Formats: sequence, structure tokens, C-alpha cells
Amino acid sequence: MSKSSPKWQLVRTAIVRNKGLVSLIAVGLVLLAAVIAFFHALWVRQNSSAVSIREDALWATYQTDRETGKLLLALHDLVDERSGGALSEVSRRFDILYSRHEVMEEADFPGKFRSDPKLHALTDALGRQIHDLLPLFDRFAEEKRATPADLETAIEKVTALRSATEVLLQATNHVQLAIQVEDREATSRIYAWLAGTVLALMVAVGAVIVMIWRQLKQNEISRFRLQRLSEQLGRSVEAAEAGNKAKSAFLATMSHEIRTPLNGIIGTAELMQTGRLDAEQIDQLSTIRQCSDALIALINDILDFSKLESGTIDLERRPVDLGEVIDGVVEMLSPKAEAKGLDLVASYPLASYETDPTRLRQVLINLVGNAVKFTDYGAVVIRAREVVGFDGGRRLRIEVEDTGVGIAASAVGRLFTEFSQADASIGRRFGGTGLGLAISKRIVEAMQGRIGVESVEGRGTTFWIDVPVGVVESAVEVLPGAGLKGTPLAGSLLVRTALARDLRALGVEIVPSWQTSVHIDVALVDHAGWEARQGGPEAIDPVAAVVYGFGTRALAGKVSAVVDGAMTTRRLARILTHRMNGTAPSSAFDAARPRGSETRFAGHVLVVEDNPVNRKVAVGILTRMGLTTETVVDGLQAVERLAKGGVDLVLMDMQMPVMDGLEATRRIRADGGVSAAVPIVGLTANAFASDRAACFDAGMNDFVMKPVTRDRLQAALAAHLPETEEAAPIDATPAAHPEATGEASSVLDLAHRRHLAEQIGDEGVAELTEVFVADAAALLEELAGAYEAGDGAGVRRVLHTLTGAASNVGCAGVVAAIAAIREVGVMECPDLVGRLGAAVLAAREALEAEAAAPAPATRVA
Amino acid sequence: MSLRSSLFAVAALGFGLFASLAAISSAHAGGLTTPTGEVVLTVTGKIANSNAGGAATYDLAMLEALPGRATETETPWTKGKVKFEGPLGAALLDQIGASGTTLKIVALNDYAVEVPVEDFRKWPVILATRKDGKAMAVRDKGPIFVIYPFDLDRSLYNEKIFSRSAWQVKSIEVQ
Repeated sequence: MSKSSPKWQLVRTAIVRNKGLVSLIAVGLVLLAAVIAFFHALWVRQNSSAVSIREDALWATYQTDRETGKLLLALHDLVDERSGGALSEVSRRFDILYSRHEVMEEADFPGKFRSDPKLHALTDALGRQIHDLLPLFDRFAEEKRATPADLETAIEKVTALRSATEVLLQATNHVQLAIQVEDREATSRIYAWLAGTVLALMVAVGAVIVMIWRQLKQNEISRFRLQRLSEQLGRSVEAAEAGNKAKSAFLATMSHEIRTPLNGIIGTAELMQTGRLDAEQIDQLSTIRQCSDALIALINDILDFSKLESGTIDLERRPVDLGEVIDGVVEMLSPKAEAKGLDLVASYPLASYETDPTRLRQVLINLVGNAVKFTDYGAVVIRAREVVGFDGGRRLRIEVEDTGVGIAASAVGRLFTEFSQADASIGRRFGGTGLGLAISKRIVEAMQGRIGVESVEGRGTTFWIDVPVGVVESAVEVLPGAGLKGTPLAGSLLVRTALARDLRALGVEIVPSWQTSVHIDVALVDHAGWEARQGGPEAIDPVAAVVYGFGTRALAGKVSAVVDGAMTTRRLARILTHRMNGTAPSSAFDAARPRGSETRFAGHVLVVEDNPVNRKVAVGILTRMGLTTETVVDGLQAVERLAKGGVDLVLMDMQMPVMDGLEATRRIRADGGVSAAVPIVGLTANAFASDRAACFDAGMNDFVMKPVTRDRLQAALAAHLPETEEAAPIDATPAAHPEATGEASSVLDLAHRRHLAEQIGDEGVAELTEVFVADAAALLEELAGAYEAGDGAGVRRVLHTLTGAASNVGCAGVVAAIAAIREVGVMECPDLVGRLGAAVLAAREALEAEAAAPAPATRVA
Repeated sequence: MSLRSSLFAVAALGFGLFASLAAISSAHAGGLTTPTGEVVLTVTGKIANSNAGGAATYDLAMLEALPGRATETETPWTKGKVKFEGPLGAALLDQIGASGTTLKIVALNDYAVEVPVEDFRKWPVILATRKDGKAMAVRDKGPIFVIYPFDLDRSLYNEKIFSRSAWQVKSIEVQ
């Protein structure tokens, strides 16, 4: 029934739509039935007349009349002796007549003859007359002779009979004719009806044909229209696709173009951070860093979104240590959490899963970043656990809960759509593209997972994701906390619950905090909690205390262990392991913050990079790491350079003119020889799995995400270059160099040059200085030309460039001279070129003097 | 229809066989005898055997000695079902060694009709001499009535066959 009903529905729709055609067909069928009926009637009529084949009444009557005539003739012959008639002949004639008459009475004539009263009366009368003759003729036959009187009587009676048969013949003829006419008329009527019906049928069939033809024409037209529509649609789709491609290409190009100078800014800011700067400058620098970071995050978001939108999301799947991913996220967001005074806690199973670490990290950074962003007091807790899906597959559920502002129920629906934040006012307050959650949603969905949110406005929000993961067989886990008794003493229930869960998962027996009588091995407490309890009745035994949170480093040595930063399961596990082994948990610091230390390497690095600023930054950082460097500007040069040997590692940009990094790497690997084995580290602005895969496919050993920073380079180089010494932690606070601020001469900014030397080495400074001197000469010429031509804009541009170049190498005299000229107005200064020339000359002299005999004052103690 | 025709073919074959056997036996007995009673039928024309100067004459006894058949049927000229008996036309033709294709049958009133010899070969047509067991007088359409086997084939019941169903037959001419 359920199967046939949609079919019937279709039929019904078709009937309703073709009402005219259907009714015509119905009429046609009725007419056809009528035609068949008429044919049947005709056939029956024909058949019945065939079946009721009867003797021809007229013929029989005529025969009777004729035999009567013959009898009369025979009688006359007998009477007239000359003709020699015989009595036997008369008898025979009578016999024949009698037999004829009998036929007339008995024969199966059509009903009309029998029912016609006149005919009936005539036939009866005839029968009576013949029967009257019987005795007379019987006597003739018996006696074989006839008296003249008898013959006279016979002739008289037969003559009368003759006139009777004649009348009967005429009457029969009339009836016969009437029957014929009637029959013909009836048949004609049927034929007329039949003809009418056939005509109607033909009209109906004709109409059906016309309608079908019209419908076919209609179909053809609509088919044509459909085809045209689909062609149009196809063209629109093509156009849309072309537009989309153009957009994607534009976005990719633009983001690359924007990122390149931005990477320069970030790298340079990174370099400057380690220099000697005053408090104000540090503040300004951090603003630059923050803005650049925000900008690059924004660009990454846009690029990501455009890639996700065009459906080109590549997912990889490899075994991933969940703790490593989450700790990485925690580490990344710790500065922000610290700045806002939030507790950051992560609790997760110590296991590996098969998934895409880059994508998972991206989503978690977004969710945790949001949580930190929208939480002013309290904590952000990351909880991960393994669950089994409906299909029996393993899934990972990660929740990020905060105690922040929460989201109104009405706004939840809009959360995951593009360019929307829960509240316009919040958007204004916190900034951001609003793309983060939309991107996260798309990523999670691409991973066949789900993302969701639960929130109570004013109480906090929990974002969760649920993604299918592959199981990785892991070694049997030793519970580091087995046999220990512990208690979490966090102020907030949210954090306490997470910590208790972690402790339990690591084998620690949880003791409620009020059970003061029980000996506690591990007491997890945050910095504030520790401080508050100190000296009070609830003071915590320092032997048991594990203090976590930002700024707890100060307590090192005073308590059992500190975790300076966010508490995570891995960190807790490490502390517990030390506790079990009886070693000092000093490495817990490293676990939390490996800041401020720098590794030094030995070797010669070839930097392949087309952008001069990036080149400079990379060289600067590498030089500071103790490496010697060499630069080329494209892949082809790199290939040529490597053929000569003597390179320990290549830092290869991906996108370059002439030959890109991937092609260069392939060539180098294909060339064979010594250079084929040189480690190549790619520099890429794209974090997608496909780019990463492309790096490795081409033969690269590693890759570093742009912007290039010391930490990133260090991590990448560690695997490929020998380390020389563990450098002493560098204190980056400017307070350590109070003398730096006032130490500028009128011609050269010595503090700046010293700072520069620290970053890129003395040779680097010398090289930069040479570049400046050469540039300055060219710029002066250009300036003179522009001034003579009266091109104010050109003059201003040259001055701008010269200022930048001079301040870079610390030529304060030149900078001051330009500033003075600008104060007067560039075109109002007739000795402009001369004044600048003098300043540049002075700078050159000072620089040459410096190069010849470096003043001892430029060395820092 | 084809079944019916084949049935007839079989029946005709049966009768033909029977008739030829009868002819052979009668030939053995001296073939055509001479009539002793009143002559009721005279056959002339293309015949091999004769008994009266080129013609074959029959009295009632001679006719009834031939192999015959009883046809019980309705006719347009009688009331109800009537039983006709008489010699098979084919048996008579065999006895006289008729070789023509058409029989011109003439009645007492000089009514003449042409009947194809084929009819006599195809169907067991009888020259009926008895109606309901009694010899037929002239008044009763006697002495000889050509009766087609309407009882075997209803399709014979039509005007064409009716016209060939001559009664008060007195002579046959084989042409």
C-alpha cells in the first residue's frame, strides 16, 4: 500500500493536469464501445437471418399458382379430345399441386407472412378450396375415368382456385416487398447509427491526437526551456566557480603578500625585544607585537575560512599525543590567561589517538582563546575524555568550560555562523572577526565530528567538540600516583573537580579536604590558596603542597613542587613520578615554562629567501645562535650554491621568484652527492596539512612556520645541527642595562649600534653600515634631482627612506638633520642637499673611525 | 471449422469406401438389374452402365437395395424433425458408372436444378424414398427427395442448398 500510494498519487496528479485529454479518452472509449455494440447488433442481425434461413414464401406461392395453372391446362386438355390429355396426367398435376399447398401450410416462412391476417385468411381459403377438390380427384384416381359433368365441376373449381392463388400471389408479393423495405430501413438505421458513432469516435480520436500533439509540442518547448535553463545554470555555476576561484586566488595572494611584510615586522620586533630598550619603547614594542599577532591571526582566519569555504580542507591522520596538543594550546594561551589572572587547567587521558593534530590544535586554540577572552574572573578548564559513539567507534570529547560572561540562549543559534558574535556590544568590546567558531565548526564537521555549546548567561559557557579518532595501542601505563593520598584545594569547584579527576586518573586516592586527620601526600593548591592558608589553621604541609598557577616560581624550594603556569595532566603526572622516584621535581619548571634560555649551535646555514627583511631577520637570529650564514635570493641560486658544498643546513623559503623552494629542494635531492643529504628546513606561511605534506614530499626534513622566531627556529634546528653549549638564560628586562638610555653621541647612536651588534653580530652591523653608506650616496643624488625638479613629494619620499635607513644603523646625526629640515619645510631649505651631505659625511667618518678602533665603551660588561 | 471439414473428409472417405465396396458387390451380382416395378427414376447422360437403351432406370426396390442413410433433420418445407431414408447419391452414381461433373436433376413439375457431382462425393447426400419410414407419395413430395445431411453440417442449411434439394425427382442427367 505505502509503495503503491505515491504511484497512485502521481496518476491522480496526471489525470487532474490533463483533464481535457482524459475526458476525451473516456468519451472515445464510450464511443468505441458503442461502435462495437452496433457491429454486434449488425452481426447478430446478419447471423440471425442466416440462422433463420427460411423458405421463400413468394416462390412457394408462385409455384402453387403455377401448378394450379398447369392443373387447369391438363383438365382442359382432357376435355378437349383433340389434344389427347390423359386423366393420369390430371391426377399427377393435382398431386403436385397438393404437395405445393402443403408446403404453403407447413413451410417455415418468415413470421411476417404467418402473422399477416389478410395473407393468413387467403391461405386458409386456398387450403379449404384444395381440400374441397380432394374427394373429386381421389375418385378420378380410383376409378381412372371422369364423367364430363365431373370434369366440368373440376374445371370450374380449379378456375376459382386459380383466381384465388393469383390474389394470394399478389398479396404475398406486397408483404414480401414490405418486409424488404422494413428490413432495409432497419439495417440502414443501424448503419446510420454506426456511421454517426464512428464519426464521433473519429472526431474524439482526432481531438485526442490534437491534444497529444499539443502536449508533445508543449513538452518539447518545456524540454527546450529546461535545457536552456540548465545551460544558463551551468554558465552561472561556471561563472560562480570562476568568481570563487578568483576570490580564493585573490585571498591567497593577498594574504601571502600581507604576511610577508608582517613576518618581517614580527621578526624584527622579536629581535628588538632582546635589545636594550627603555620602558616606553618596550611598551611600544609589545604593542607592535600584539598588533602584528592580531593581524596575522586575522589573516590566517580569513585564509583558513576561504580555504574551508572552497572545500579544500586536507585532513591528515596520524598518531598524536593528546597531552602534547593540549599542553601546546595551554602554553600558547597562558600569557593571556596570566594577564587576566585566570586559572587555566587541562585534564585529559595520557594517551595517543589517530587524528589531525594541526586541525585539533586550531580548533582548541579557538575555543580556549574564546574562553580566555570572554572570562574576566575565575578559570578556564579543558577536559578531554574518550567516549564510544553510537556506531561503536572511538570518539574524543573535549570540553572547554569557563566562568565567563556566558551567552544568552537566544544568541546560541547564531554562534557558529560566519561574521557573527553573540552580541554586537561584545563584539565591540572584544574585537575579532567572529570567524573563529565558524571555522572551528567547519573543521570539526570535516573531521566527521560535532561541535556544540551549553551556556548559562552570567555563569559561564561550555564549548564541546566530539570527533571520531583512531585508537593507538599504547604501552601499559604505570599509574604514577598509585598508593598516594591527595586532595585538590582549588578555590573554584570547577577547577577542584577537574583536579580531583586528574588525581584519580593518575592513581591518587582522593581525601576530602575536611578530613584533617588523614595524612595527605599531595595537596594541589593554587597560588592564592597557598598564600591564604599560610600561617592560618588550615596551613598546608609544604612537603605535600604542589602549588600551581602563574607566578608560583617564587615559591620554588619552599614547597614540594611548583607548576608555574597552567596545571595539566602531563605536568601533574611528572610531579607524581618524581614523588614516586624520590627525585626533586625541578624539571617541573621546564615543563611549565622553558623561557629565557637559548641553545647555541655550530654550523654553516644557507638562507634562501627573496624578501630582504626576512633574510635579515633569519640571518640575525641564526647568527645569534652561533651559526655562520650565507644568503641567496632564489631557488636556482640555492641549487648552484649547494653544488659547491660546505653547507650544513638550508633554510628554504617556499615561494620565491625564478624557482620556488619545493622545486629547488627536489633538484637538490635529485642532484646526488654531498649536497643531497643536507638537511633542508622549509619556511612556510601556510599551516595546512597539504603544504606540510608538500614539504616532505619534495624532500625537506622539516619546516618552520612564518613568522620566523627564535623559538621556532631553535626547535627545528635542534634535530639537525649539533648543539655547542647551553647558554645562560638571557634576562630580557631592560632594567639590567640602565646605562643604555643616555648613551647616544650626536653623530652615532652607540646604544642602538651595540644593541644591533648583539642581535646580528659585529659583522652584520658592519655589513648593514656598508649598505647604508652606499644607499645614502644614491639617495642624496636622487634628493638633489628631485629638489631641482621642484618635486616636493619626491623629496619627502627620499627623506623618509633616508631617515629609516639612518635610524636602522644608528646614524643619529643624519636623522637629526632630516628632522631639522622637516621642521623648516623641505622646499623652504635651499641648502638642503648640502646640509644632508655634511651629516652623511660626518656619519661616514664616525663609522669609519668606529670600525678602525672600536671604543671600549661600546662593550657591555 | 477445419476439424469439422476433416471429420467430413473422414466420413466421406468412409462412405466412399463403403459405396465402392457396394458397387463392387453389385457388379459381382450382375451390376445394374432391370426394374420390375414402376420406374421412379431415370438416369441418362455420361453413364457406363444402363438397362434401358442408354439409360439407367430404377424402381423403388432397386433404389432401396443401394447402400443408404437415414437423415433426421428439420427442413424449411416440413414441420418439426423428420426422418428421411434412401440410397446415397454417390452409391447410385457408382452403380451406373457416372463420369460427369454435373447432375441435372429434374422434378415431376419440370423443375430442373444443376447439382455438382462433387456434392454427392463430399457429403452423404441421399435420394430419400421414405419419410418417417413410409414411402412418399407425390402429394407428399415423393417419390424421391434429394436430402443433404443437414444433421451433420449446419452450414449446409442455406438457400443455395435448399435450391438443390429438389423433390418429386423423376430423372437425373449426368453431364
